Amino acid sequence: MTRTTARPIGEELLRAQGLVCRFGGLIAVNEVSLSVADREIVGLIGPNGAGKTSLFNILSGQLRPNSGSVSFAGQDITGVSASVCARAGLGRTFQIVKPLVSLTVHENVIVGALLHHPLAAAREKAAEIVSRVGMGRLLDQQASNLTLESRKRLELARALSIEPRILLLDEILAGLNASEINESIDLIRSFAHEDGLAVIMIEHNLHAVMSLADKVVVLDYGRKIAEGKPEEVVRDPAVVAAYLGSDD
Amino acid sequence: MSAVFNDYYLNIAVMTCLWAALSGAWNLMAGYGGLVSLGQSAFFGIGAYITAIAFTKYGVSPWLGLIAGIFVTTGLAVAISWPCFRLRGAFFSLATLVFPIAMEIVANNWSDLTRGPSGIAIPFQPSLSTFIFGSRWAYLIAAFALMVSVYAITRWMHRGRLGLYLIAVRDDEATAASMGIKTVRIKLIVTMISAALTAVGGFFYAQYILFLDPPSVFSINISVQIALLSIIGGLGTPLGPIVGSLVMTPLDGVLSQFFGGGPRLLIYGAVLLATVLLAPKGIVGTLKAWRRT
Repeated sequence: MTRTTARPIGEELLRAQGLVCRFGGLIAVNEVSLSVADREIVGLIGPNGAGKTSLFNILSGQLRPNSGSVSFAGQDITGVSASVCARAGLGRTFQIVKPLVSLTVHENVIVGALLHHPLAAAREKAAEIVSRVGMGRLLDQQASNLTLESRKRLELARALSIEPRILLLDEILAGLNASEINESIDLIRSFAHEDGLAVIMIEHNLHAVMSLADKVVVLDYGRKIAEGKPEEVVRDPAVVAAYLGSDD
Repeated sequence: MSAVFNDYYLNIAVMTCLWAALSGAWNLMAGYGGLVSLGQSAFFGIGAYITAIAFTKYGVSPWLGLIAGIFVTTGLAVAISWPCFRLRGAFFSLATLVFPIAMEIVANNWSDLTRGPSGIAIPFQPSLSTFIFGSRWAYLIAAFALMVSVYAITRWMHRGRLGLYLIAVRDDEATAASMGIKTVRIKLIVTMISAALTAVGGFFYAQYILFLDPPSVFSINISVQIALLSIIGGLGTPLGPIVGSLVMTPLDGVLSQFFGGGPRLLIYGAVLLATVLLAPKGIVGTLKAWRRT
């Protein structure tokens, strides 16, 4: 638990500019720009349907934007496939958990670790990651038998398995109880502070966002309506209106 | 009399090994990669036809025919399956079903090359260089070797990089891609391996039976049979196709000896139904689940 406000944030790692994504007549992401630096934790918040997951899908290559650009570590990665994004160093979790159900927890993570290691080394590396996220006991469990909480942790382990430079975490705290949330908060903090990863987290749990994020970005109806330090953003009238509705 | 009797059972043994090998090649694609292809008889038939045409029409050694067959089949497998990879599940299966049907029509009508419906008889010239043998024992050894090779490839793949990647792609393509797996490439690799092994089976069939006509190698029944043996034995397990073939191929042989078409198919169908109902994970899968509990 090292909450340091003066923690040095590194150089810019990910930069998205003017991203637009349409589904038919619906504009899911509308002219959104975003910048994330090494070691920085960015909270991405907004009401349901604001376009947070669509933005993630663009950043991680699952979706191609209609316009705009994404650059990562100085390279243009706009519109490249999900596997290229992963190889470049973007690790992500899915909001609707997607474990590989016919494999064990260990094997799920080995699949990712194989990206940078031969099989024997990948096995070791994967076991380390599994115990890092607190699933050591479940190493040889079938992924199909896991509880929701464990599945969320497995998502995290899988995202880490490719040794990413940035983690995109899509609501990994949803559905967890208070003590599980606190454990996860410490874990996420350690990724940024100890491992030097950049993190973007979509999160409805404001307590977690306030205690973790260096910067908060708020989306509403696909637009970015606020960006700044957590304390400032939650007082922003536009943000309050988006969440609670405005008087007029 | 005893020689005939012996040959009869040797033939069943040869066919058991051949079917196990063909089904094992399919199991790589379908059992591990979830690519439930019903187009295997296209690969099988092309392998058989290229070998036979090269040998009978151009006097080329069947061994060279085999190599040509492997290359053509593998190339065609890429051309055929690439567009089908966009389709999932049953739609992929239906799309692949078209290819043996198309190949049968081609083989029936391109008579200059394939002699059409009258088929190709391969002259009996026993020698290792023609891969034609006087004794069925030689064929049995070769078929057994083919079966063991397919098993060894499956075993090697099983929980190695390719096997894990295939299972990942089968379980969830988005997850697989998010871990850096090039999903289309993985599917292509396994399809090529499967097609090449199936073409070897076709080569073997041509030099063993010494007669080919379009329905005998391109029939959809062959594709279905290939799939059934793995499903009965245990999808996605290295031993499944062998167990499936060990149970079903001799059964089919014995049934056809004692019964005519009708009762034989009835009993075969009943055994099939019983296995699928009582052991939905196949024989190997069900035994494994038993042992675990």
